[in-house]
Amino acid sequence: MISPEKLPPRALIDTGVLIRALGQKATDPRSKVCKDFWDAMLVAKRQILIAAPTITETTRSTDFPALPPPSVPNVLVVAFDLQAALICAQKFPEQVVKNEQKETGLFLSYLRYDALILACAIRYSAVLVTLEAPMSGLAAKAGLECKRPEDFEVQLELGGMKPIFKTPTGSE
Amino acid sequence: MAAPVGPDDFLLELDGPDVHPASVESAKLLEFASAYLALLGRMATEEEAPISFHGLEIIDKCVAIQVKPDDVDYARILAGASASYLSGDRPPRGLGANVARVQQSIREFPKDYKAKVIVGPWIQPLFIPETKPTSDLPAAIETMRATVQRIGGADPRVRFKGLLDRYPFSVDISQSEAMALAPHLYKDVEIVIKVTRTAEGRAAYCELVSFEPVVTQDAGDAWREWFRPYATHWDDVKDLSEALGRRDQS
Repeated sequence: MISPEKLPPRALIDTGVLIRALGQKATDPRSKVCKDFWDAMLVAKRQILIAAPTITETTRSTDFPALPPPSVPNVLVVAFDLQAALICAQKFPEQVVKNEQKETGLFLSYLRYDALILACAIRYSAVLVTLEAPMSGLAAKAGLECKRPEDFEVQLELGGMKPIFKTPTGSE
Repeated sequence: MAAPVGPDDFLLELDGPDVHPASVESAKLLEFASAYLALLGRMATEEEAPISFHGLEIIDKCVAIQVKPDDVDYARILAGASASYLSGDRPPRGLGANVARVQQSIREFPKDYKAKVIVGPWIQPLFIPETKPTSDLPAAIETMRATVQRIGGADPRVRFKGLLDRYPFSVDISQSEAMALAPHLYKDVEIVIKVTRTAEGRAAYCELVSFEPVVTQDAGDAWREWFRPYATHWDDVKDLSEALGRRDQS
């Protein structure tokens, strides 16, 4: 369960979080928390940002033509614009991306996508919410903290909880 | 004279060879300061957040006129935005005469004099078109969601506040654009603008390219509906993270 108190005022969600939040991969154990996070952000009227490159990732693999997403309250598709481009070049120069590729073994083209999305998060001062470790690693190199949807869940600290019911005693 | 410059001080400085209070024509210096402070005052009035300056002093630092703004942070923001207007970016309607007056006051000095505005540690050179460095801020096309805060006038303008932007900004528009935007007053719209920004991110010059209204329907439903045609593909994907070229961090 998501804790409303933990929600950020503005979160930019990664492609994997968006696809799961929209109801896909229901059998994936983390799809539920992505959907819960999405729903909780909307109920709390917090801003959900989606980087324009995420729209490309979401739509490009299908035969269906890419259509513009809906323009609705509290969900904003944000452009990779001039300011984002300058941030991307400054924070994720080619050597940084190539080093990341060597460390992770991932495709360079995908890491470049990650850099584009991360630059959007920095550009719009948003918390990046992702499930992907390489994304978090690249973000850390730019000094950007990433969160997972699970980070906004209510933490049950059983050790510190008081019992709901009194323990029966012999006198009662 | 020679008062110490503190973090809240606001200075208009002239620098150049042999520039000091005794060598600079007083009337020209006062006209420069008067014109510049009038420009900032007009910009503040346009933003409906007036500002005032008091406590004038002449500083023997090259030569500088020092004043105390009632809000030094706001004064610095206005000064930052003013620089792009003075260097030749088209100012919002209504500021043209003030900008021209400052430009003319700077032209009255020898060409090797350099005008600056200094706010504490912050220094902003004031260029006019003929002295503007070639590496100026480029204009860029941006898309953003913005609230229509105000619209209208004999020469129509619209005032937007970008939802993700810190500062509101005004755009000159046509009457037909004003009429089309009017039903969206106080509502959010998606806009495409051609904009030049200051180093602080304020929109110094802006043109409206197009706009679309934001639809007031359930966001979750609308996005799921949009995603439906693409869902089949992702349903068939075994490992979503792998398909996206990433790896889970679980």
